[in-house]
Amino acid sequence: MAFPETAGDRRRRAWALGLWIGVVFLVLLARLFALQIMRGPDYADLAHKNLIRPDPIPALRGRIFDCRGVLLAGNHVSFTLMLEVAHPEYRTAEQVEETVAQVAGELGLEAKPLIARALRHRKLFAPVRIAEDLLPERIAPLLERLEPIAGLRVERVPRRWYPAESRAAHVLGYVGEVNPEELQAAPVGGGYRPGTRVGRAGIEREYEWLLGGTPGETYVAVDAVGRKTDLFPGLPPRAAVPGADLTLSIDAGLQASAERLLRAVRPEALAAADPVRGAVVVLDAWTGEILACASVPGFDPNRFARGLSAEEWRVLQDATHPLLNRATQAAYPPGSVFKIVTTLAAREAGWLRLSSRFDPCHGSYWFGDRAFRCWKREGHGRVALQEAFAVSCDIYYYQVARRLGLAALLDYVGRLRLDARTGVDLPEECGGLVPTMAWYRRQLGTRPPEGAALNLAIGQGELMITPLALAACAAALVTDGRVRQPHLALRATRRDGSLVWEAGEPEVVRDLPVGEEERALIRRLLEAAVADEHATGRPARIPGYRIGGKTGTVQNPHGDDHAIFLGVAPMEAPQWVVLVVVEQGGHGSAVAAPIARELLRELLQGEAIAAVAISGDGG
Amino acid sequence: MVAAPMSGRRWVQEPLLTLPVFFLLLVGAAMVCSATLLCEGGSAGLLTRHLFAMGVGALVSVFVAVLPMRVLNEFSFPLFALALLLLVVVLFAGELHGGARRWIEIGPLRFQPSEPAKLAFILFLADFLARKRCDLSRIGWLLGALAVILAPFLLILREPDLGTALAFPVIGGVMLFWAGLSPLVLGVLASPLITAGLASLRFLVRGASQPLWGLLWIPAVALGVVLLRRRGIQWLLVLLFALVQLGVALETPRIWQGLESYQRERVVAFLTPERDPAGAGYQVIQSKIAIGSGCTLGRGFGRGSQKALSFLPRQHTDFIYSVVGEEWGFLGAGVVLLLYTLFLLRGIALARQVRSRFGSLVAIGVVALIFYHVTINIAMTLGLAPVTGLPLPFLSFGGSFLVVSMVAAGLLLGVGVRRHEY
Repeated sequence: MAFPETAGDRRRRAWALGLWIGVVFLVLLARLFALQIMRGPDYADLAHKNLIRPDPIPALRGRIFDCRGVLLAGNHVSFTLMLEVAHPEYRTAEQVEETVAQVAGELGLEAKPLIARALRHRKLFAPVRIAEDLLPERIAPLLERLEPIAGLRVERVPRRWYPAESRAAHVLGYVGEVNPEELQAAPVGGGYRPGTRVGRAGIEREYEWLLGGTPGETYVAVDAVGRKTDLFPGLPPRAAVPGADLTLSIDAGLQASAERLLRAVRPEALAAADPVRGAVVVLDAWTGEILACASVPGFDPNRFARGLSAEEWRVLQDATHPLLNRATQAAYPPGSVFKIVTTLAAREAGWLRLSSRFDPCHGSYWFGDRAFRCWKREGHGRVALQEAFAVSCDIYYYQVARRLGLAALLDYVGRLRLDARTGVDLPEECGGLVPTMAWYRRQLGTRPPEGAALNLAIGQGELMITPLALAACAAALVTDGRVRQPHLALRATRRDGSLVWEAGEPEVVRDLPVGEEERALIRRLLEAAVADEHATGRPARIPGYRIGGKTGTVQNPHGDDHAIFLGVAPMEAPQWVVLVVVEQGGHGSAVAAPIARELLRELLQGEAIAAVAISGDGG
Repeated sequence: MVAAPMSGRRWVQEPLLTLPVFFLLLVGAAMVCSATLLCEGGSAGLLTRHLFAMGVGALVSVFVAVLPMRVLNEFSFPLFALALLLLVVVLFAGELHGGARRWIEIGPLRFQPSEPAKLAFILFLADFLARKRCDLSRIGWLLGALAVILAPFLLILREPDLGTALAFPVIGGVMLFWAGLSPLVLGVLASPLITAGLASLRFLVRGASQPLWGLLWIPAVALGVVLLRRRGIQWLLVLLFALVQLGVALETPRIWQGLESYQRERVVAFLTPERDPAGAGYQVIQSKIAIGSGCTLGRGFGRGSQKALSFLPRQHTDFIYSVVGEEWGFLGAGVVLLLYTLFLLRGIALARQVRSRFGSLVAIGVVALIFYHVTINIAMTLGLAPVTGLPLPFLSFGGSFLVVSMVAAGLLLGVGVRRHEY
């Protein structure tokens, strides 16, 4: 084929090429149209997202107040030393290392971990935190000396602050830095950012959703590798929404007294260096509001807000378990306090009257092949129900138990559900243990001996109840027989005072199978156990007031007896229930009853109002 | 007609050719300025180098435009031989960069020999096809022409640089077509490439039923056999055709497996850029974002954030069109496309009118060269073609190719103004 000399052939081929170019360019033009005109706004949005980097502004955590408005947890400004490791001054990693080492040396900090973190942050173009919680008076001289260092600055960071330190620490809980799993699980946008402090225990954790607030964001323009740029403006920041302020039913003054009284106890059995261990719960009997909830030994939640050192953490893990809230996370046998239940069980069986008498008490009681002792060696003699309860005669209750039988007693106890969790608004509440026939069979492999009933009747042995659960049931018995859910939080408000959330009417968890007649009897017995001449609860007496109560002394296979006291006042119209447990405290009447007395006195005389000064006792 | 004296007026008579080039160069200088100087940490160094290369290009292009066609014709073979020599040299002495040897450094001079090779190739193939005795219907001449095409193609494929290498068969194909080769023969010649493309599908489309995709070439070859038979081609030749296709189809998977990993990544990233937004797909995504965010009128000169904050990769070279799209929008990008269209259509018109076979073939070769670069580059920035690293004529920063494209325009102009010469 020769070269196309004819004009016609050239024209055809030129047209073909031109057409081809036209078609291809039209395709390109169509694509331009699709990208720029049809989807242009979407891409503009993407370009903007490329450009704008959101940086979190931490939300101020909501404050926590007691029922009178005393601050229990707030925020204060912490001065944090930051180093901008992406500063243009630092061209190489070595320069960063050198600077960090110099600053660390100046502050007396260990350089190695700081350098590692600084190099990580350098890759992210993020500033690195060198030191936290600098004292304000330390900052000025420090900055003066470190002034020539580029990119060093002091930032003001809100930090959780508990003004009364360890006061009510178990109720309040503490905060800690959010962990990666929580970051993953958090909803996108309104959720957590790395570095956010979240509630880790207690109220701080339970009401994180109210206290946490919503972090805000600043929007800065950055380039492709994340460096801030001045070429484009950012966006106005979205302000953080502070968390709601929470008001608790706790009375700071009463709480302080409870903790002070508990710490003041010096059980004989305890070595001088050992901290006393115990718990106090004060309930409003009609609403379930917790007025005081103390547990010793305690801890200072401020340390968690700072971040614990390994040594501090080890101390908190020691044998006395200072992190344990003994009011809700520890269970104890109720001791003689349980005689209330034994009495009720026998009353329901129909044969126990106020006048009922059994064999006289001579200090011990033979059953099967072993002697069951009364706490009083010399014995109580022949006593009727009220006296037996008041002087806490064990022999009397052994005989009640024998007549009742293990099965009937277990059946009645089981119906009270003393082992159930109360549902208090604190995380990690424990239940108790109330044995059943099946439980005994599992544990022993055989039918339990009848002797078990005798131990059970005086609240010893396998029975375990948390102080809070015991107090909640007692509150029901002295009021209308309805068990109310104990609770702490009353309401949450914004800074301007508007209501965000409110605890509703006290929630009735269940009704005790105890009629008004029986409850009146129990009230009478409780009052007698404090007021009668030989009553074990006499140390709880307050002249001029009608106080009720019951002592308990729990045999402890590991050491001295635990002291327990249940106090109720005023008996003409029961309003408050106090439960005191002192581990290895000895006799309930000697150790626990006086604590309850002081607390009830405060409540009755309205002393709690005067005691709001939070630093009044140096606790 | 005797060679008419060169008068200024005759140059101006080609405004459809010169004005588009002039405006494109202007756009290019503006965009290189925006993409280098007006960026974070930008400096004037690259812009100065771009303007310098432009000056060099202008001088050389005026020189080749003024040269009589006869001189070009005579020097075409030495030039082509020199180009091939440099392509061989670069394979051994070239600077290794990103797994490929493409650059030669002589003192301060640093260039890709494959760029001037395109021009030398156009000149020599035009010379070859324009010879009096040349008859493409004879197998010897056809094979000769194929050898001229395949020599630079294979050498550049060795570097490796697939995008640039493919320019040679494309330009060569257009020139053969212009020289009168029947489309059927052209199709048969291109058929191994088409078969290879079809046989590659199963490496490109992941998740597809592999055996099915891998066998797509069979119906295509069958279609080819039917077409050939209907044109009355002998059974023996048709059988030969089918056998060649079979060989290519069976060999393709082995070539794929031996392919450089970066080449594979680029092709795969082109097909599904969202799969690897941080890697090879990143460039395509960011380029689409840049162009798309320009909308109708663009974000204004120097105001593109994709460009300024280096989200765009290689924005002053391969992705310069993305900057045009971002800052001047659909209007600007469309005008640039229109300028190329004017230049190319005028080039075809000139090739039609040129009386000299050599000049006509050079003109069509230049048209094919510019068309190939424009199409592949713009399609790449729009996410329609794989990222090949081919620069955009007249616009992209880049010394050697800017000069080459300007010289190519100079050749076209020179041929055009002498269209009445034999």
